[in-house]
Amino acid sequence: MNTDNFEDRIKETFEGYRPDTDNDAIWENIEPHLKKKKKRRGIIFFFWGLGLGLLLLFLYRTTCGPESPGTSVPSAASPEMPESRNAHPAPEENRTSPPDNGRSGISANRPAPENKISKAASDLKAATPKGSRSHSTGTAVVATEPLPALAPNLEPETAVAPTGIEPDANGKTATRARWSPAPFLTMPETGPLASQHARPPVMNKFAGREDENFHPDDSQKRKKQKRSPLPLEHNLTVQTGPAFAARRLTARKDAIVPSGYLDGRKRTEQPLESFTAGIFYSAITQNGLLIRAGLDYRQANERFHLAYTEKKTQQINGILTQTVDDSGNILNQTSGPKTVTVTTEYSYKDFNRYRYVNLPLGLGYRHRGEKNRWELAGGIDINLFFRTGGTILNRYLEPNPLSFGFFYYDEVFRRNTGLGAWTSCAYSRKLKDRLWWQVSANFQAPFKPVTRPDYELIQRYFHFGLTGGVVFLIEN
Amino acid sequence: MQTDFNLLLKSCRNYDRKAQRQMVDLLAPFLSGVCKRYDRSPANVQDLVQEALILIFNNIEQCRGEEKVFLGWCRRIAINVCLQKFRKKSLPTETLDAGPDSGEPPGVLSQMGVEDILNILDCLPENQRLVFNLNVLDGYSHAEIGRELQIAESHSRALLTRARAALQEMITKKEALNNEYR
Repeated sequence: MNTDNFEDRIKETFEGYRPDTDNDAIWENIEPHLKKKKKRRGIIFFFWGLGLGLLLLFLYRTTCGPESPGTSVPSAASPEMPESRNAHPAPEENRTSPPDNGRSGISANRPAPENKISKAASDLKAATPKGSRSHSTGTAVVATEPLPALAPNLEPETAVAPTGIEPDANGKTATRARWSPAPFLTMPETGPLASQHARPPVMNKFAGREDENFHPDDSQKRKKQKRSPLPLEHNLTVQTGPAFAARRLTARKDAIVPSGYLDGRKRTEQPLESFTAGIFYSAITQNGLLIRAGLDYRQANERFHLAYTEKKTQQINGILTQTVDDSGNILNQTSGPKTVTVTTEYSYKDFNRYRYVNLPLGLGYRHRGEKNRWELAGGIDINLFFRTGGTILNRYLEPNPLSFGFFYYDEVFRRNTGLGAWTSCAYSRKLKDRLWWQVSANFQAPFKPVTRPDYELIQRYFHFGLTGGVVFLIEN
Repeated sequence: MQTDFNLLLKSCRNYDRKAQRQMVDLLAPFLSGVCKRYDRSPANVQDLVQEALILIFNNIEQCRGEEKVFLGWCRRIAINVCLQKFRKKSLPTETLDAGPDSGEPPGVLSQMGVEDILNILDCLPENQRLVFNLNVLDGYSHAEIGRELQIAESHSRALLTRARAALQEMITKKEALNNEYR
């Protein structure tokens, strides 16, 4: 029999078969159910950026902090610096210039009487060609060598114009402002004007050489004094523990739910254990403000159990009565149609797992005691990963295996639950210098359910956890 | 033309409503042709097409391929939607006696249109029609059919043999009737 030929003909007939359809009616019916353009990502990235920005800001404040103006000149110790500074002490007015109120370079707006360098240096700044040995930063200008053609008034000497130095009442430039009040920062000078003016230690640093009057400890002290007003403590917390995932399964208001489906799902799925584990970085300011970011894994387990009985009744021909003797021999029997009922019991068991990986970002307060601490924190969770696997009832009340990538999975569950909220309350005690143990009670819930918006039911989880772990003090 | 389709597809992936509307014009007849083989009722076919289109547009990101791959994916979704309707009905078991002996394919087949073939397919028992559609017209293997319809692979083979035999018998009868009236 040539069935291939026969089937090929049928195939060919259907190949280009395009029946007429009422496309307008179809579109009207489907349009309300279609997804809209995704805007979620923008929100997620916004919060991401915000969190990251805050974290970076605090890290920056910890590591850099506001410093004295001189220390921010990166090329201060440049080998190009001349060695002749102390050998040819310059008059005071030639070494300093009026402040520029924090603006970069030397300001030409404020006059500097008796200060030739000031004008020469500003001219220099305007006219310095690329490659000339002049260093300009946000706080000071260092002219290391005179350029006769461009600035004839400039003496062959290093000139430094730090900000924050203002002319005194006589019009002369005095080195005071932020440096001069601290007694340990002033240095005696062995020049004709030594008794009148004190030279700030930063000059020595710019000069790129050691000065016998310069004390390295001073700069450390100064750094400590000028350090960030919000010093941070950096912690790394690792914690894990049991959790309880409270499930809420309801019917969507605008959906037509097949009868018994909601009850069927509730009946067949029983919550089991769940747990959470996470690693978090926290930065805590001196006044207790806590900033946290990390990675959190959560898993909720459920048992699926479907048991039902199927009865089939059928008419068959068989033995109706039988007479046997003592030894088991059949003496007499009657046959005929009879009704037989076959009862089959089905039992289907599986385990469902709901897995989340979240990125928590948040703020809080930590009370810092000597030996014990407590903290209260809260924030948002960004869901990086959500998957589930196992078996659920489908709308025809059949057990339907679920696995990521399966068609039915995408009908029911989301691939990402988006944003969520978390809050935690923790208590910790000191174990060692840098090691603390911690117990924490926490709550977490995504803003969106785990089910898709076009699925008939709404399935939502709220996680209550009790975790234990350790806190490492990275830096104080 | 192919580039236009791919541009349209790209816009649909960005959930552009206008592109989706244009895509409905292209896809609805194609999906309707697929669904009609599984259910003849026009109202049911439209429901199936709508359901398939919603799934296609809402999951369009999952299909990375271009025109040919995309149409194959759409066909698969439409078939899945049709099968979901049938899954709730348990397939009745039947005795697998040998089908009628058939000879060469009847010549009348070449003169038959789609509607005639659909009418003949309609005469088949539902399970045989499903297996015939899936295996012969949609290229599903018996293993896949077994998984989709939750029946044994051997049962699927048996149903296909029955369907083939029944179809040939019907076509032969139709040819005989035609000859009689001629």
